[in-house]
Amino acid sequence: MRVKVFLEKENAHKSMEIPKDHTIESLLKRMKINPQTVIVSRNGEVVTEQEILDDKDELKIFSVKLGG
Amino acid sequence: MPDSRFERQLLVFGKSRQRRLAKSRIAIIGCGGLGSVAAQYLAMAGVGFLKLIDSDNVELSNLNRQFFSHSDLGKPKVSCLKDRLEQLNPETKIEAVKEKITEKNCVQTIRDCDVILDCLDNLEIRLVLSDACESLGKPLVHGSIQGLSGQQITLLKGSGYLRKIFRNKLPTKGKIPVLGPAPGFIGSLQAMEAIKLITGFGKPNTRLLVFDGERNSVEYVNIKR
Repeated sequence: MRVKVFLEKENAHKSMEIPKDHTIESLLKRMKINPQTVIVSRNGEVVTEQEILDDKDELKIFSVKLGG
Repeated sequence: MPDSRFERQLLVFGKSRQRRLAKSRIAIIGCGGLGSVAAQYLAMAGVGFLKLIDSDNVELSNLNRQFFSHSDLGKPKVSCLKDRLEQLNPETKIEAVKEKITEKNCVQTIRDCDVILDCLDNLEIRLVLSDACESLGKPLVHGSIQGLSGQQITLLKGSGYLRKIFRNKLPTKGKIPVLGPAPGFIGSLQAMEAIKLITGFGKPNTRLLVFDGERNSVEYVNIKR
């Protein structure tokens, strides 16, 4: 399966090959990103790390911002 | 207050909505980069009552982004902001609360307000505030910033509030880098959201707005119900 990933921190778009039943958590681990530091959207919706990915999903990974 | 004071916004939404603003009570939790901006726009718009909550005093490092001056250094933020707001609009009543929000005092502190602005700078207290708003069914106007970027969402009853977005996230350690216009932008949006909620004019932003000022992008992300 193939997914498109946008990483806000690097302003970079990537296309990634992933196995079936890959979760967001697995993808983040592969990308060496701590899930506790990011908010992930899948096809325009905020999702949890347990979400299972589908072919052609579009993911965006935003840094958590907490300043005020 | 003569109509001419609000002439330009009466052209936007009319007198009956202006009267709603005059009767409204808004709590601003955190009076730093976000809160000091939002509070000023709300006072200028004719909000009836603003409750300012912040336990900090003004420090030199605040002055690149928070609307305080050198003569305010060392003084409580809530007192300095109160003075400023009273000059901007003497008819807006201001209550300055120099306290830290905790699980014990949060519900009681915000209970008498119609809309709550989350202008805090740490995750733990943001979640305390969010939980309190959820228990009371109060709308929560969340804003946050870092660098040249920011996020904003308005959370209403039934939305799941901030735990839907910040589930299992790490608090930021150390000083957060911030350029002044970032909280200026997000704080202004928060004021606009509060005005929309009170007046009923315009639609609240119930998606997560992600603004990146460095790369010039704006995204709206849905939150699953």
